[in-house]
Amino acid sequence: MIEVLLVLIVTALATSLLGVFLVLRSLAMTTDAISHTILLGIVLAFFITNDLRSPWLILGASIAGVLTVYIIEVLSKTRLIRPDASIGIVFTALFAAAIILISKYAADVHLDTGIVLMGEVIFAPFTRTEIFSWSIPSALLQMSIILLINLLFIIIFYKELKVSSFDPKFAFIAGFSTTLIYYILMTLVSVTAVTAFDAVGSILVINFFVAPALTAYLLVKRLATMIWCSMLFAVINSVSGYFIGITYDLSIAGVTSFVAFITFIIVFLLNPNGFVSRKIRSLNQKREFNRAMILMLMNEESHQSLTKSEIISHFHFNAGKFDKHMKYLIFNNYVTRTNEHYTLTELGEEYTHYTREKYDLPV
Amino acid sequence: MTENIITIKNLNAAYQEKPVLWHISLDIPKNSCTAIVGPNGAGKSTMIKTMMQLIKPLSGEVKINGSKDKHELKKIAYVPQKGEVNWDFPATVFDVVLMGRYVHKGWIKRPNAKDREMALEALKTMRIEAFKDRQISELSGGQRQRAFLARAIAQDAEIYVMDEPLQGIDVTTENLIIEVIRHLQQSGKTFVIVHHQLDTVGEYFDHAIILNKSLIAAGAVETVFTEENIEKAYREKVN
Amino acid sequence: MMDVLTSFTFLIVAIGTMVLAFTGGLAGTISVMKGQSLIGDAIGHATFPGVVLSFMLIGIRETFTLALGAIILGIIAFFSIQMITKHSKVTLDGALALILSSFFGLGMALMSFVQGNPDYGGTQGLNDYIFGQAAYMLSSDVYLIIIASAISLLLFIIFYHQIRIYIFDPVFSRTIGINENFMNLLILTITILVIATGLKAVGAVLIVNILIAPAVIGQLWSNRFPVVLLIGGFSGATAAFTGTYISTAGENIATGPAIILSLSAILVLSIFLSPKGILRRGAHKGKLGEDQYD
Repeated sequence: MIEVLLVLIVTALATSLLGVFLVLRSLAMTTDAISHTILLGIVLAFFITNDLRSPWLILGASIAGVLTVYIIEVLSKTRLIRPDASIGIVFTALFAAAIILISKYAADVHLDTGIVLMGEVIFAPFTRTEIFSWSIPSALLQMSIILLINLLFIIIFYKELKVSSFDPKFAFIAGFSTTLIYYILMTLVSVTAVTAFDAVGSILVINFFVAPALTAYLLVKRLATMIWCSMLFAVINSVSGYFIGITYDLSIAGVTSFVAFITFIIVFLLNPNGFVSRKIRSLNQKREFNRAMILMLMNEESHQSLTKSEIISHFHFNAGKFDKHMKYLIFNNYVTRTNEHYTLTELGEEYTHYTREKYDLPV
Repeated sequence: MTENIITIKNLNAAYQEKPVLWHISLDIPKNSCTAIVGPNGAGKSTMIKTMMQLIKPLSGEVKINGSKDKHELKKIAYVPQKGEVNWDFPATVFDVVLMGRYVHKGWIKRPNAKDREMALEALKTMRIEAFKDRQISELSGGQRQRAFLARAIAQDAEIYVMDEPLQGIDVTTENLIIEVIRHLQQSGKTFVIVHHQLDTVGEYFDHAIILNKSLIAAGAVETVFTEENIEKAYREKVN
Repeated sequence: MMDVLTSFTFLIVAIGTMVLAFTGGLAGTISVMKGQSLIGDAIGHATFPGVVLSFMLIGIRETFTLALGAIILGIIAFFSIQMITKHSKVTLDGALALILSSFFGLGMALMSFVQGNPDYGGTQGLNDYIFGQAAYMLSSDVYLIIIASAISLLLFIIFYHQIRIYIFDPVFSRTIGINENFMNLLILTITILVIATGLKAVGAVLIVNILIAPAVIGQLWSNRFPVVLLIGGFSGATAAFTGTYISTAGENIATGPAIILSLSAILVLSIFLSPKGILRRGAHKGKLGEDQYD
C-alpha cells in the first residue's frame, strides 16, 4: 500500500510545483478549465488509436489543453466577452462535447467518465511497469518523469518565470517572450494534469495544483521559499489524506483535497499576518487611536483640564470604555486627576508629539 | 448669521487601518460653494466618504441639517471620482441620468413622466441631450463627467458632494460645470467639492477647507486660503 | 418526430429545462456583468457535498431535500470565497479554484463513505447530480424548478431597479440607500435557486454554462439592459428545447451536455453575426466614427 502513498506524493509534488506560478499569475481557473477539456483530447485521441494506454492520448490531451488556453485568450481579446466568462463558456462546451462523445461512442470501453473525473489512486498499483527488473506502478514511473520535467523547467527558466510572474510588463521590456513561457507552462500543466488523471481525476487535480501553493502564498514573500513551502504542504496534505482515507475507507483524492482546504484555512486564520492576528491588531490599533485622541484633545489650549463627562460627550464614548482608557492613561502616568478634572502630564504631552510624528500629522 | 447645513464634530476616521482624519470639527454653511483642498493622502476623499456614510468614523459625528438620521442622506447627491462604475453595463446616458430619480422612488415603483422630464432637463443643463441614447461607455471623459453631474442634478438634492470633478477634463466642460454650479448655487444649493488645482480655488469657491489629516483651516476663502495655511498643509515633512 | 414531441417524458424534461435555462439567463446576467461569472461554477461544484450530506442525514433521495442540502453548502461556499478574498491577498481566481475543488473533494469523500456503507441504500442516483440525468426527471422535479424559478424571477422583478443600479455603480447605489450586504444576499439567492434545482437536469459541473452563455449572448445583441435580459432568457430556453429534443431523439446523448452544446452553437453564431460581432464589427466602427462628437 505504500506504493499508493508514493504515487499520491509524487503527483502532489509535480502539480504543486507548477501551482506556484499558476497562483502568482492568477491562472487557477484557467487551469481548472484545462483539467476538464483535456478529456476531449483524450477521447479524440482514443478514437484514433483505440488504445487507452497509448502515449498519443497524452499528446491529444496536451493539444486540447493548449487549445483551450488559446481559445480563451482569443475570445477575451475580441473584448466581446470578459476573460472569466470566456473560461466558463469554453471549458463547459468542450467538456460537454467530450461527455457526449464518450456516452455515444465509447460507453462500452473502459473510458468511464466516472474514473476519469474522480480518479482513484487506490487502483494505481494494479498497472505495473518493469524497470531494471523492478516492478513498480506505471503511474509512479510516469508521475516521477513528469515531476522531473517540471523541476527542470523551473530550474532552467527560473529567472524568466520569476520576472514574468511578478512584472509581466518589465519582462516584456527586458525582452523575454512572456507568451512563450506562458505556453510552455500551460503545456506542462496539460501534460501533468492528464498524467495525474488516473490518480486524482480531472475535477480534483486543480486542488493538487493550487491548494498547497495558495497556502504557501499566505505565509511567505520570496518565490524560492514559496516553492519549498508549497511542496511541503503538498506532502503534508497527501500523507494526511492517505491515512484518513485508508483508515475510514474513503476516496483518498477526495479526502486529500478537503484536507488541503483545512490546511489552507488554518494558515489563513493563524499565520502571523492572518485573519486572527489582523483582527487583534486592528482592535489594538483602535484602542491606541482612542487613547491618543484623548491625549491630543487635552493638549489643545482650550481643553487642558477636562471632566469625565466633557470627554465622554466629546468623543461619544460610553462610560465603561472611558474608564478603561483613562485607567490605562493614569496608570502609565500620561494623565493625572485632581478632583474631577483630568490634565496632561509631561509624559502625556511627549506622547502627543510621538503620535504626531508616527501618523505624520502637521504640528 | 449664516445657517450651517453640514456640521462635523470631532471626527476621527481611518482608511485601510491607517488614521487619516484627526479630530476634525468644522461647519459648512448653507448655500456655500466649499472647496476641500490638501495634499495627496490628506484625507479629502475619506472626509466626503464619511459625510456620505460610506466610511464609518472611529469617533465623532457628521450632522446634516442638524440631524444624524440616515434619511438626511437623500438630500445629498454624490459625484464619485472617475472610474468607479462598471463601464460594460448596457445603459444609455439617459438611463444613467434617470437613475438619479430612484432616490425618491420606493421598491418596484417605476419612474413616471415627471421623472423622465427632470432627467431630460438635467441632460439639457449639462448640454448632453444629443447623446442621450448613446451607450455610456461610448462617451469621452469630459462627457462622462457631465453625465454623472446630470445624474446628480436629476437627484434634485440640496447638497452636492463631488470628488475632483474637474480632474482631467477639457476646458469647455470645466467652464460648463462651473457655470452650472454657479447657477444652482443661486437657487439655494450647497456644494462641497474636492479640488486639486490651487490656482482656481479663489475664483471658483467662496469657502474652503484646508486639510492635511487634521484641519488646517476652514471658513470663507478670503480669510482661510492664505499662503501661510497652504504652506502649512503642503509642507513636505523634513526627514 | 411527432412521437418525440408529444411524449410525456420529453414534455416534462423540456418544460423543466426551458424554465430553468430562461431563469438562468436572467440570473447569470448579474454575475457576468459584475465580472464574477465563475462564482456560479464554484457554487455549482460545492453543492455536490450538500446533496450527499442531506441524503446521509435524511436518508431519502428526494429532490427537495437534496436541493436544500445543495443550497446550504452553496451558501457556505459563497461566504468562504468572500472571506478569503476580503481578508487575505488570495485573488478571486485562486479562492474559486480552492473552494470549488475542496468542496467537491469533500463530496467525493462522503460519497465513497455512503457507497461503502450498507446502512445507506439506493445511492445510485446520487452520481446523477454530478453530470445531471435529465432523462430521469420526474414531474415533481419540474414543479420544483418552476417554483424556484418563480421565486427567482419575482425577486428579480421586485428589485429590478436596485439590481440595475447596483451592478452599474455600487458606490452610487450605497449613497442612495441601497444596502450592499442585502444586494449580495439577494443576488446569491436568485442564483443559487437556479443552481440547486438545476443539478438534476444539467449537473454540478456544467450548470455554470447556463448562467454565463445566455448572458453573453444577450450582451452581444443589445445595449439595453432589459433587452439583454430577455434575449439571454429566450436563447437559454431555445437551447434547452433543442438540447432536450436532440437527446430524446438521438440515442445515448445526455440532456445536460446537449443543452450546453446548443447554447454554445447560438453563442458562436452570435460572436460572428451579432451587431457587435466579429463580422459586423468593421461596419459598426465606421458608423461610430462618423457621428463623433465635435
